[in-house]
Amino acid sequence: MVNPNDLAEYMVEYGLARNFDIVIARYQNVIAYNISIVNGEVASTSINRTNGLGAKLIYKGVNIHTSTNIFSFESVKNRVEEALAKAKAYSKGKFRYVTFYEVESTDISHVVKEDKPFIDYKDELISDLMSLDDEIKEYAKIDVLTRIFNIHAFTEEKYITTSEGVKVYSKIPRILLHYRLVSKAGDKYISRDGFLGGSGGIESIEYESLKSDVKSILDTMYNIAFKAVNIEDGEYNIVIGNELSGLIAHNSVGHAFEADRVLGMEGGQLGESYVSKNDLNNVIASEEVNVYDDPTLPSLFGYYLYDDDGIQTRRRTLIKDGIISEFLHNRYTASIYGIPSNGSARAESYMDEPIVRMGVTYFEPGDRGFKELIEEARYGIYIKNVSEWSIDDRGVNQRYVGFEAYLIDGGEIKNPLKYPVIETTSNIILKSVKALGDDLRLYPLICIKGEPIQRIPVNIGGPHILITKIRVLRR
Amino acid sequence: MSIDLYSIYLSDYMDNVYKWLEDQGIKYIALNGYVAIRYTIRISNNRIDLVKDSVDQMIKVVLSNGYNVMTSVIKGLYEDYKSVLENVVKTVKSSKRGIKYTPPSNKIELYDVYPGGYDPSVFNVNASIDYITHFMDDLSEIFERVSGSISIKGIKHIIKTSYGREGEYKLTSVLLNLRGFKDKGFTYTLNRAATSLSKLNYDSLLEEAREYASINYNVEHVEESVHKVIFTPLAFSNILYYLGTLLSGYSIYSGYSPFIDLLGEEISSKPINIYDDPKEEGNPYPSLFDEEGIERRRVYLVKDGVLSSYILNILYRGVFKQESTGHAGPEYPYPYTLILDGEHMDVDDLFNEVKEGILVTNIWNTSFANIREGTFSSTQRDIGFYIRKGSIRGCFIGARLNMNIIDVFRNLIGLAGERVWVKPWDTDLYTKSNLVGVDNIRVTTGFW
Repeated sequence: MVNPNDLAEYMVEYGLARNFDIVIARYQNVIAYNISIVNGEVASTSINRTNGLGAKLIYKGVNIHTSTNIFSFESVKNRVEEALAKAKAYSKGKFRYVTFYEVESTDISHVVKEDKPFIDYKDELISDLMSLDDEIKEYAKIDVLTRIFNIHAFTEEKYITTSEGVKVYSKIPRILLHYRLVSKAGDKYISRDGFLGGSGGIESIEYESLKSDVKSILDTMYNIAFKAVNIEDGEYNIVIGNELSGLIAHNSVGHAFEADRVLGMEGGQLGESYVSKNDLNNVIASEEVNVYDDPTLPSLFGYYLYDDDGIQTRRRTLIKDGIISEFLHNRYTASIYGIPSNGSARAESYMDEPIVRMGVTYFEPGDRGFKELIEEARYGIYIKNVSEWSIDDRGVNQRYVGFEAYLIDGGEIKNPLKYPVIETTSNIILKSVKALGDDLRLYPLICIKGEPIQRIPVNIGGPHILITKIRVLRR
Repeated sequence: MSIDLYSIYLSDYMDNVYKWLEDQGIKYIALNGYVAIRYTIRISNNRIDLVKDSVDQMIKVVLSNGYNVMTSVIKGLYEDYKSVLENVVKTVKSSKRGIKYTPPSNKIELYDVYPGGYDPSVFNVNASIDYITHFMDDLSEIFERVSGSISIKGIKHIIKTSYGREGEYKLTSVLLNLRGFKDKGFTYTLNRAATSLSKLNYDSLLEEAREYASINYNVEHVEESVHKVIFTPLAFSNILYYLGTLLSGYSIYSGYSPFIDLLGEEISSKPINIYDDPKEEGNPYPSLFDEEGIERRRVYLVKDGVLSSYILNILYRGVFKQESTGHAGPEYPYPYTLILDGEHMDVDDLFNEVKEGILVTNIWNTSFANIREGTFSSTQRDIGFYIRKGSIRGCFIGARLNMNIIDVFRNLIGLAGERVWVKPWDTDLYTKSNLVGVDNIRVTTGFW
């Protein structure tokens, strides 16, 4: 059997021989296990392996991505020849001239260890989830008709080699648990989805944390069914929980700060950005706000150290003291700005070109305790988490429907509220931040972008945050 | 530059895998082999910025020993398939309870899709580059700038099963998705799917772009209200996609679909039909059989306004005591393509019927607040238009449509105009419909 890393090297070598200016070749092998447990029974299992070779090739400014999973030198040669023919064909038309910022050679190997490898401990995880299923039935004060646990464990192995001498090998196992609960009270149903996960083995699924989250959902379902009241439409001070602050960091900052969106290169796909190319150093949020994207934080779902252009990543400061500090770049967008890439190029599989993506995006915590935030809000709403969220394709017009939510009155948490809806804009929400809590929690998320859509593991998060004078509607 | 779907290697590989699976004592085997050629030409701001392609082979196995089902996809045909499949086989052998799995026993051989369902001329990349360049140039006269892509696929699907089903077919598919940008947030997406470039109907698409782009009103933020809404085929595709997934036997069996217990019930205010027919001429993603070897055919999910079937594979046919509808999907029964039809009005009649309302040309980011009850919202993606006295008067951005998937069909006003095949960027389902009018949709916005 041919060593796929040798084929990646051959792709670079042959690409240079055929006069490509830059070749970034990647062998990418993903093995994924999916197990679905429905109402206490394993309903389906699958094991999938996706491996192949992909390469970004630049020929006289023309940008080509080619890939194959036929592992032979002949196949690689054919792909490069096809790439050259395509490059020549489209260089005659209206194409965007692409250059890449230069990088230095490197040779790195990086492997994330699993304390409890999924393959060896999956039965333990399934058994825990079966026990949790029993506990749900015992604990809930309401009929929980549907209990679904979907386990998605996948290990991504990559070898990246470039015409500039960059060689990066990495192997990162990740696990994501998605759960869905549906309960019934009278003729009304209540549903809620949740996620937990990280990089590593099954230790990424902290059972006690999962149990606590699930019990909290069950209590909230009971409250929505029997105790919660509607809120009057109006402007409120709102304390938002970690999950919601993470969604805002992801939607209003992370996506909007992806340089390819800023430059209009995702216009037909995920969309453009409300932030423009020349907005760097402009005020975008209240001065309390600092937002980072840091894929180097260990054990997280969005963790990585080298991106798919072979560039070492780092913590990216997106907003500092309310001012736009930095955008997310791959080598292509960085070259347009005349700066080095900050390591944001990611591809879902060997078939996909690495595009600008987030890793771990979060609001930096402040100094307030949770109680202080509630006291400071005086009268308003506490939205701990949400059941529905969406945003427009420029990252402006957004909506979050509260799931666990309470009235705040006299600086104290009072009765539960039924589905309060925040519908506002990024400009308003970022400038309305008054105080940030000292807690930080991060959540896993699968983020979509590209053509065809590429699904990438990321984290979102933040502390509890007090935002003021935000319009709230009843659902 | 011309290539074709051809692989001797895949046939040999499949023979080896099939024999190995038989030797393991697996009772029910469905072994799928695929050869795929894909390429995408991507443009932004009136420039081609990427051409990407791939040539791939993969196999997918669907295995059962009589209870439940286990699947495995292997992309990248190494000789070491055993390292993946050994774990699959182990799980299948240990599965001794769950849903009973009983494939049909009659032998059927299936070959070739409908005439024109496979057109190898799509593999001529130069022709595609010329096509998209001309389109870009023509659209540049209508819009300030254009972004989007043209994506082309050629797929050969082979199947061999232990229960007498085997076959092979080839398809080609072309998806055009171009978004024009004018000033002040006016955007419009041209989206169309077909089996070849020539069937995209260039002139008609250009005319559609001209028609919408020529509507000149100041772009305003939408007024919050309860509206009658006319959806274009692209906008309604998003709703059909979620309808399809919620009619999957899996979502019914698992207990989270709002369509539970509605089989045989009237779910629409109009006698519409919603069906899948991958063999219908013109379907841009034709198919002859699913991944369990069950023949694709016309399957009515909604017939004359009545919910008439869920979407099933072999596993879930046992649960619902029906035949498989030929929808074995990635892991669960999954809609393949969906077609909405019914009595059509003239477009003018639909606008007159609506009288006061809005026209929505594209939505996305559909998110369910309560999936079991079917409540969700979708966000406006491209330009919307106000309808006043039955005619377009003014345009808006910033709308969010608050809907319930059951109410959408209970509040149908009517269908009108030409039915076309589309696939929105954020779903993976090809759908065909015309303009769809729906009453009583609450519109909100973050711009207030």
